[in-house]
Amino acid sequence: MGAKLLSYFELAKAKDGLSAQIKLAMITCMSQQKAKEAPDSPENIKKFEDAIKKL
Amino acid sequence: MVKFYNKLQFRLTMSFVLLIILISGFSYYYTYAAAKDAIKQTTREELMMATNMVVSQISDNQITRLLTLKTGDDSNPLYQEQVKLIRNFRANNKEISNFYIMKKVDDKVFFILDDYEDEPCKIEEEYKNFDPELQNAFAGKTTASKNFYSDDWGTYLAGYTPIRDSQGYVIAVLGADMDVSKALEKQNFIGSLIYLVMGLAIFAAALIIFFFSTTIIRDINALTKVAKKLSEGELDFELPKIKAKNEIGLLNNAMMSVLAAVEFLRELVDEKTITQEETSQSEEYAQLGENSTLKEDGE
Repeated sequence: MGAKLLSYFELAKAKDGLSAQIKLAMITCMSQQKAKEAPDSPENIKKFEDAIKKL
Repeated sequence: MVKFYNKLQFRLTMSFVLLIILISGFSYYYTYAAAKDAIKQTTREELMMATNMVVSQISDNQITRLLTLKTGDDSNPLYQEQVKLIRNFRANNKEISNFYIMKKVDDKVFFILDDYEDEPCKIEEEYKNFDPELQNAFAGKTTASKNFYSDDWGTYLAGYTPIRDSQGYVIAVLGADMDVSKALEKQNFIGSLIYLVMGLAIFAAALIIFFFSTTIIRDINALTKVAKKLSEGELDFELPKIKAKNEIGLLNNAMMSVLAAVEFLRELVDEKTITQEETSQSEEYAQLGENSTLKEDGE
């Protein structure tokens, strides 16, 4: 549950560090904890994919 | 606690209600004024038509004979005959309170006939404080009072038609009075009707505005609660579910983003604190272990 979503935070960190992670949380409206608890649904994955593209 | 008169819903509703009252007030003023004028105009036309009709039935010969009558000739058969004739016309026109015929000598106006049943004016009784329009009738024009006028007998609207001799000269004027209460009744009825319709419209509009503003204010209130909790440092709460796709919806999304960022940072700080605590604890244990080893070696 949420493992895939959580991996996007690592991806963001690798991309631009802490500020990218904060941006990702803001765009998806999900903190790491929430991403961990949320299901890896196609809808959520799309939301994170789109957010990563914006970073 | 926000006072009720500072609340957005109250102000929004009041602003709209005031706006409606203002617009309706102006509409009422103009509609009522127009209706009043229309009623007055219709009444004037009715009066002029009635006097024209009566004059068309009276011969100049009869009037010439009437003009010869003096004060006290009220029981004269000619006079009585004319009064009867005119009363017959009045019987078919219930709104007219009385007909009368006047003559003008120099600048003075005198009655020569009055069909009023209850204390009619006497022959050659001077008519003082007459309606200014009467002068136009003596000048040869069928006319009616421009406005309600008051004389010794009450407040009326009157119509006048000149009576001419065979040469075409104006020898008398026939007047017809309509009790002003009839016209005022019509005016008041229209005024009350407009008031009623306006009152109902304002009430309905106020209700609609109230319910409309309730939906807007409900979302704003939900966001205000979120902002208040944030300002008090509280982070563990559920965000309201706002489905509105307007500015309030956008504001809610922005709020959710900010909250997610704050949560993210708090989690990060918590994580780091735990790691630091664990590190310092293991260092303490390591130090303790080192000390006990040294002690044992010394012994």
